[in-house]
Amino acid sequence: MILNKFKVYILAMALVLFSMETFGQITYLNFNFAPMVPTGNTGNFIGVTSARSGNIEYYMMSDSRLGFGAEIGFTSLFEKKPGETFNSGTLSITGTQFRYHNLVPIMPAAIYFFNEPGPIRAFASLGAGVVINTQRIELGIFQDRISSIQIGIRPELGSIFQINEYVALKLSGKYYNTLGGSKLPAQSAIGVNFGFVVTQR
Amino acid sequence: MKNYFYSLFGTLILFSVYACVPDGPDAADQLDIVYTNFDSNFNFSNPSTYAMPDNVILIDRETVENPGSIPPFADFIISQAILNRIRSNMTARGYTQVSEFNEPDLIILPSIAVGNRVFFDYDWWFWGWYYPNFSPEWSWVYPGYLPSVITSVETGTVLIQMTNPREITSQNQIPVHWVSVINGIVTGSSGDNSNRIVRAIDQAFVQSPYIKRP
Repeated sequence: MILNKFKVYILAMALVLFSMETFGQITYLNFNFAPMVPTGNTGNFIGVTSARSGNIEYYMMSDSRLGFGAEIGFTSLFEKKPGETFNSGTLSITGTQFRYHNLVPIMPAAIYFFNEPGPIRAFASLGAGVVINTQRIELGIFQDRISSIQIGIRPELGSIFQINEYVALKLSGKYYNTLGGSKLPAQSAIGVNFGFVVTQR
Repeated sequence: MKNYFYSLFGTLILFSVYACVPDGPDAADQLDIVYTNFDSNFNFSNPSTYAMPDNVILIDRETVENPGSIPPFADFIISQAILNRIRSNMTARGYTQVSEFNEPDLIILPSIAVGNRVFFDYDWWFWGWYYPNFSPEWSWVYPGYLPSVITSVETGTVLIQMTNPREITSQNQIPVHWVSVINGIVTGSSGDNSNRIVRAIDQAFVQSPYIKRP
């Protein structure tokens, strides 16, 4: 059931993106290295910053400043916690916990540049979509795994530094926040993006 | 120019995928776990005495091969390390050890799993040589909880059952009010084992604060 809804979501996102091509002038394809600092409930589960993180963004500009697109990313958080006790009902298990949290944001997004095309372009963007969260605790021979697809938003502030007509560098900060569900509470993280931007005109 | 950057992106992605494999356990003791589970309807402050055998048995199968025979015992040093640590923790919690013939409120049964499985419903014949008023018709019952969340273990796993000889059910079931599984600690040298056993059994009691006399 969840998988079907997810397929419909991806299809709808693809249709929106393809339909925008008719008035698209410039496109940006971003490949970002994205170190992530877990915060809130995510930080309570794993308190370690992860460099195992990246994302790809694609934007089509509808005019010189406003564009629409999407982001897909992957972040792998990990922390080893010795001597931790896992409790569930009457059960308790103590040992070295290996905690994993994978986040996969899949979000349609809009981007707005504050200035006209030039060597440095500051921008703000907002993504809204879903984040696939998978939390796993491995404790010796025991494993506990929770997966949850949550609705999330992602504001971003940053700048693009144009190297030449086709290539630019990007530096930005993002904040991911999701709505809590029955399986997992709300998740959040701050990401810094260092990216290559391929521009097509 | 564009091809150069696409190649660079591809290389970066390959490195990223490799970097996305987080660390796992890199030492045997990182796989040590102490598991406990208990009957939440049982008041552990009511019993005051307990009995415990002088040996820890080895369980290598679910069913006894020769019913009526005495099962193999664990190495003496290891057995004593396990029994002494259970005893000191039970004493610290206010319980008194008595002989199995003096009508103890609880009987604690320590065993070691030989092989990669721990059997929670193993054959009662394993304790036929020790348990007072033993009947071959008996079986285990874990009231209100399912211990079998763990079945696959490392060899040398210690199983401790806290049983109640006074409340045998009409179906000839012995209640096990508390169970602990200590994964894979009986391996390597005796000295190393003793330290790990002490730490692990202490931890089993630390995470079971409900086991105490008022």
